[in-house]
Amino acid sequence: MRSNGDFEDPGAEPTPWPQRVLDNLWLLLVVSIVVPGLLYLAWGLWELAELPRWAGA
Amino acid sequence: MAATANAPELRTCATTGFRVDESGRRLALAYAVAAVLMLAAGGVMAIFIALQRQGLPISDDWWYRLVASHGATMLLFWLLLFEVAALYWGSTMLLNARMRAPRVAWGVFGAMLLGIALAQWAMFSGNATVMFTAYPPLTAHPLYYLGILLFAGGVLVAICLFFANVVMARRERTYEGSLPLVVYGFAAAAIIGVYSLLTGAAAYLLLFLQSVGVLTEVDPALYRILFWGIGHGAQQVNLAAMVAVWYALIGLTLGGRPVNEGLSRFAFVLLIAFIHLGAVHHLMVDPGLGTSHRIMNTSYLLYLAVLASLIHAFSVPAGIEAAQRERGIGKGLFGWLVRAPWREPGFSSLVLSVVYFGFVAGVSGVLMGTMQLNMLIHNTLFVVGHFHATVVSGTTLAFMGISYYLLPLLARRELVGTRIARWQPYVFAGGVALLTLAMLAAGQMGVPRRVADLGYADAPVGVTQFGEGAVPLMMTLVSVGAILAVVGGVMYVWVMVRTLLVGERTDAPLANLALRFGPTAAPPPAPASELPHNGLKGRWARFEAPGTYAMVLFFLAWFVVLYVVAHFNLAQSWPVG
Repeated sequence: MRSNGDFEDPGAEPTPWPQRVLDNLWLLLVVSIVVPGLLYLAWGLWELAELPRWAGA
Repeated sequence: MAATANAPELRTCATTGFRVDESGRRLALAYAVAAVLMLAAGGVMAIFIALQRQGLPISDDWWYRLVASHGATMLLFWLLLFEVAALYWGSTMLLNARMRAPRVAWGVFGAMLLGIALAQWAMFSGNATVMFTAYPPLTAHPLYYLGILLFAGGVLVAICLFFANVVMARRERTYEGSLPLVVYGFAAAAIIGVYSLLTGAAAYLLLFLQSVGVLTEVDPALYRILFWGIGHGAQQVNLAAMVAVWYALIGLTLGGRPVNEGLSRFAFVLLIAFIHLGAVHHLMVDPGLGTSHRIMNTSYLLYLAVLASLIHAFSVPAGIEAAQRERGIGKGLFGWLVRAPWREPGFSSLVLSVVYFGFVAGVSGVLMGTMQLNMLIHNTLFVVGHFHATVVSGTTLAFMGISYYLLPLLARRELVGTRIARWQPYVFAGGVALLTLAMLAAGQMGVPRRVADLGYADAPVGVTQFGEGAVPLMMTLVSVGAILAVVGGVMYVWVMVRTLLVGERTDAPLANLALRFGPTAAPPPAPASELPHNGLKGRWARFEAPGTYAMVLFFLAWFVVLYVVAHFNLAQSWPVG
């Protein structure tokens, strides 16, 4: 947490790319949906779909 | 962070120096008050649930109603309402920004309260005794599912408003550069919440459609994999919000900051990417999922999220130590800790939350995420002990700690009951420690969770093993711990309610707490690099936070010991050869 009095230096160097990545909330939102969406959900649903059906069903 | 010239209508808080938007303040206050009321209700239920174990005459039917409502009230309503309060506080006050679409936000608040009322009615009237998980083929009244859907949808809209606040704050240049770390942590919680709420909404929508006759059946395996997106995911929202609160408390109580802010941000990103995969550890005995899916997600990929927790577990105490050493407080390896402000409720809550979350909650969670070890304790009281350690000792205690600062700031009133507040974290943490350790031990002995009668009196064949040996003692300790924790909870609610009702109105609250943040706080005496390491010599003096380094080594040793003990127990249960 920073207080009100801290100002950025207007002549500061450009933001490094790793920091830009960390600052990109939309990119992080996509990652948060895609990673579990594929590894947990899609993979899990695929495994359920592959289960053999009980003959009596 | 730059003060903005674009929002002249904002008030400047005399205590923190932040610019305050009244709409955001009122909304955050309303959510925080609703959250505290939910905590009080959940605590009352906890007492009855615990005392039933000691002979309080509560029918099995009512015990299950209480357990169902206690779970939803605490895990969903209390925590998520408080987190929405934190999101609105973080995205307005901490960014000197305005609240967007306040009328929509108030409408959403009303819808969420309606959702809570519907769900509570269904649970207490005996129309939704389906427990927190609500697994089909158990069925509940449609209004239960509708209530949960209204509440979850409300949280999702609140998250959208949080992002709107952040985007507009950026556009209006109310802050420059990266988001402040605390707000970044709240953003991580919000991001984690999106996937969690979407999967949860999908799961409950299926059951709602079944309950009104649109669907004839819901596949239990499909439901379970969707449900644990929110069942586990909601707890990870709590985790990220709790860590953000930890950093906020370091700033408020010590004027400190993390020793490497970039590393802390990276740890939040690891949580965002990988923490949801831990949901599989709830499905370890699910017959539909293959071994590869379960082991890959829990025993391999989840460790990337565990790494994030380990980074925070180092960064938070290191931030405390660095802040103390900057002021030249304490000599030797741990003098900074001994002379820390233990009488400040925010600080004691912070330390107790961090220590208990790391040593008990985190380690027990990682053990449960190991497939072979999970087989020993699945569906036992061990699981209940684990999640009480995470969301009660960890998250709830951290939220209580920040409340002592947040509610007076939001209500613009002086804190009432400072003496009670100083003792409250210790009483509450002590009770929950006893409660959770006894639960973990009972679970190791095989005591099942969610069973009203451990003697199975109505079953064709009764069970005697849970009335013998150390089990009755453990169950008594569970009840004693619960009572002590509820006493701590009552102290907290008492201070909050008294502050809101009779606290002296002021534009500069928190005068009766030792705040080391804001325009009136004294700056550190000198930059850290110019200070000696307070008497430390040799190899320890090379580290910026040598005391934390020593504690981390101890923590890793503790981790290894518990892992070895757990595998030894496993070997005793399943001898090979």
